[in-house]
Amino acid sequence: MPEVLISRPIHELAPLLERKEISPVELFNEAIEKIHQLQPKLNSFITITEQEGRKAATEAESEIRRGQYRGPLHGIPISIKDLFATRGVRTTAGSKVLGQWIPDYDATAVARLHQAGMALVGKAHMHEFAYGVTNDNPHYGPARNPWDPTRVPGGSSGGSAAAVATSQCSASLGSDTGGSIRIPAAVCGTVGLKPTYGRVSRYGAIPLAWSLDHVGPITKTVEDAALMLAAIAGPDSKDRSASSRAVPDYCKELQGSIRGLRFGVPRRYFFKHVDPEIQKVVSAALRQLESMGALSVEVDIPDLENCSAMEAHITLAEATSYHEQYLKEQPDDYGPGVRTNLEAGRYLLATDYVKSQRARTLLQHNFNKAFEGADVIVSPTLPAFPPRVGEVWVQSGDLREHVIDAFLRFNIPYDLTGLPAISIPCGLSSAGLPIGLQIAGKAFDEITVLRFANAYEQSTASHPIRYALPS
Amino acid sequence: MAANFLVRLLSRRTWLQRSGTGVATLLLAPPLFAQDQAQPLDSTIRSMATLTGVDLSNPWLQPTAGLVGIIVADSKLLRALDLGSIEPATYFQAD
Repeated sequence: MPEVLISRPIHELAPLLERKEISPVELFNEAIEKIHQLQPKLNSFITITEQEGRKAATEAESEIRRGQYRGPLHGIPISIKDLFATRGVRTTAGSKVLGQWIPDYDATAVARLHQAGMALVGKAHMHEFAYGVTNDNPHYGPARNPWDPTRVPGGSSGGSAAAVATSQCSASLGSDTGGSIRIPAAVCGTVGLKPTYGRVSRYGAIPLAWSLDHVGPITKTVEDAALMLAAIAGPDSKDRSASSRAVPDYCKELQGSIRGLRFGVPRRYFFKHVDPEIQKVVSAALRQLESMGALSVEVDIPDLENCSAMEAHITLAEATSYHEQYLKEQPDDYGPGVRTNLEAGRYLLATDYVKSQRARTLLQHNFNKAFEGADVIVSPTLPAFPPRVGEVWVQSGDLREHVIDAFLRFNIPYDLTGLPAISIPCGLSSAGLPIGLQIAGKAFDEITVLRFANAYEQSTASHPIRYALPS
Repeated sequence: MAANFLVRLLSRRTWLQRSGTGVATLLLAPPLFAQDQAQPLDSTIRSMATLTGVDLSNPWLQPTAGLVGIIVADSKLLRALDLGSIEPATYFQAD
């Protein structure tokens, strides 16, 4: 039996739990011990739910002993980004505004994870109201990067990614509006999946921008992401944007070959102004895909240069609308960065907002054209490495830019189009910092995205990044 | 400008909005590019109080005006985009 169970992925733990070879309580205790050890250093959690989680682990143990095994997430220690309403548990959205809120309901995704039998270890640290990419939070202190604690873990689901990377939990539920699952996943060396818009209900997630918000998992492996997605995906009458499409069996198709499948490489936009080490490692990953028989095709997607303006108009307007009452009643409870964004959202033109929503249709059309010649599109997840806590400038190859611009650049096209996109670790820099490979697919084709990602991950199964626990 | 120090226009927006000391810097530092962007919009934003119902004053007026100015400046390409009869990606549903 392995000495440190909690460092193993869910797909290895689940059969051991089902066969009663290990106990959910044992697993939970390991997770909690890790949390207590690392919380002072990494600050990955806003609230630790030791009591509630242990109760759930104990119940899982009893149920499994009675033969009532619920499935692969039964008894698994999972964290939830503090954006999601969690019944009876303080839910702050990383803010002072909601600092004392204890919901009397669960977000749909949280309810589904409870139904699947998770043991909740805690509410993961996040950027205030998900409105940023560093997780440098003025109310709860900065979350820190497990690979280099002087650096940020990325955001806004930074606590989630850091917790998964260091086995403080087996998986986490995150959200992504401009990259907030994929950015911290890439920075922390984990897998982060943003599903198709509407694949997972947003009900109970505090919104940043309703038309851009996505819900998805952060995990150690691609198979674990498939398991999490299977648990949380599906129709929801409480979320009008949730798709009624049936949820396929993501795990069944996971091991399929990618031989003969095409991966599109959009060099003009996604490979420009990129750190040379990232460029080198991602290029090696693309060669790895080719060595497995996948075919590389050059693709070009027009009009991507409009993405940052589109994102700004849509996010600022929708966020300010949501926060209108809070901004009136408690303006000084916001951090200065978020406050400025929210004030600014009042003064952008409605016509620019509508134009941005129209331009999304054009962008979808452009991506669909590209997907006529490719099954997935690949790129670096990020063009630069994370800055140190308190710093905001990064070097993206020949371009010195703000971390927000850098980190959003390759991510927001998939929030704007709603297409599924995953970030998986594909190597380390010379300084030991993880590098992420992004794989995106057609709408509701998470199966092909996961298959490509899994094939790459399996081909590098000996890569130390998979289960490396930074000291 | 040397390529090594090329700073995208949008970066100045995000410097304004993300810096925890941005507000203080704008008030105390010598005139900056960001302030140059802010000044034309200061009075515009103040005059919109009747429209918005909010009378925004410093210390929030200048960073807000600066951010708005930079987003608008960054939107030139988007505003010039001819979308023909393309409809918005989001629709109201009656059921």
